[in-house]
Amino acid sequence: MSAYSTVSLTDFITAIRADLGPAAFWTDNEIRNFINAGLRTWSCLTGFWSGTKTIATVGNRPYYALGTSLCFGARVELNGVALDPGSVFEWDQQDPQWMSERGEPEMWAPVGIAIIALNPIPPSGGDTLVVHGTSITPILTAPGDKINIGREDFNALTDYIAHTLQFKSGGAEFKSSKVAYQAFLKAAGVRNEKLRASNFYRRIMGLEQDRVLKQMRRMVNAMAAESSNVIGQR
Amino acid sequence: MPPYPAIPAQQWNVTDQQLMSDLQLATLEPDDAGATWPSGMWTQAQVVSWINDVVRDFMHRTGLTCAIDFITGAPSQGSYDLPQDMIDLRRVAWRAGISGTGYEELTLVDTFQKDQSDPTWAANEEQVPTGYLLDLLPSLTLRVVPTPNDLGEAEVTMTTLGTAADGSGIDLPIPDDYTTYLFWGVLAEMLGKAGEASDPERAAYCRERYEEGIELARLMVTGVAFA
Repeated sequence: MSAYSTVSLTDFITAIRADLGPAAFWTDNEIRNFINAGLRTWSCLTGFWSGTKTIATVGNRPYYALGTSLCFGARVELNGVALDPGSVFEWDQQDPQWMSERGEPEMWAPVGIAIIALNPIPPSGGDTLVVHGTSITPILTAPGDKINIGREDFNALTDYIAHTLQFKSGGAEFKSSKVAYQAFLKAAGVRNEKLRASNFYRRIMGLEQDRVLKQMRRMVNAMAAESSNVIGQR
Repeated sequence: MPPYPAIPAQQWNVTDQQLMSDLQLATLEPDDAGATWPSGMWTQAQVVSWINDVVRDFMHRTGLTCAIDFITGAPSQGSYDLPQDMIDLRRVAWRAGISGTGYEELTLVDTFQKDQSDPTWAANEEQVPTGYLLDLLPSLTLRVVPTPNDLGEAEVTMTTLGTAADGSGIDLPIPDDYTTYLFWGVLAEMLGKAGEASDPERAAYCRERYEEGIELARLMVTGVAFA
């Protein structure tokens, strides 16, 4: 873990307990499970944790599994040289015989999120493939375990985790904590502009509703203007 | 003979028991890794079944993880069985002969299209098929067209269920981070159940969170998730 490791499991639990109230309703283990779930959600929303995986190429093999440490490959190097991203679909359309060709790979493509393909297929193996991507979220188990998240995101995360822990309470407690979910999404949106453009982000943040209301207001204003014109003509 | 090993669907690090523990905690059941549900509102078998249903739905709608497998082609044989755990077929490529990596993508066609363009297509044989179809066939059957008249091999890229959850600590076939969204999906099923367990308001919230996960996974698969 880098020098950025600032927040421990104990820090998280203390902050969340301060939000939650009566201690007896939630055990430390329960809070820990929901902290880890919250961190995973944060990673899905932002791709916050990065990692690399090194793979040795094998002659005549186009596909390579990434294993379970990376969630998704975002950049691939072969012997230190970056490969161009592409897609198998594009390769099939542009050059249907790409799988018959051999040469030093120049492009890579994701096959789902756990496999990558190389084009051209390497004729011999032993080259070093380095895949940079989003890694699996680190998990906190012992009280002193730390995680590399900045303090600026810490409050949004702890409030959100408290919100998910309130789920079992239901009723007013859970309803009133939903605002923490919006704040959490907003904090994630700062880190991920694609997230801000997504439908669910706009829906949950009320941006879609704003757009619809603006359209309705414009329509009502236009109708009002039209009706006053009609009245004026009488 | 496949020129390189098949790649099975990835199983990740979070187990079905860990997921069931979280579900128990969220529903005020004692946490025993999903073994018992003393409230009587749900049974272990039901929860396991919902986990598999939600995994299937998640995989089907996102194509998040893929497996690559091979099917040996025989002369004058057009139809081939697909794996029992297949959810969706993503790509089919065919290579004539018994060696090499010279697979070429087959185009997905349908019987109506074939009937209109060439009513005798079903009887035609050629060395290498150029397309495949899935309609008007038994489930999990692939038909390549034209029927090959020589040996060959299909390379299939597909989404599969992987090893199904059974409550015994099976690794789930979804990346660890996305299991948080499985949690919401299964919870939506549990709280959407008719009877004493029914809680439409919280079930709707869970459904919305699950759909959030679907949308995020789709963004991820199309490679534009993070900027």
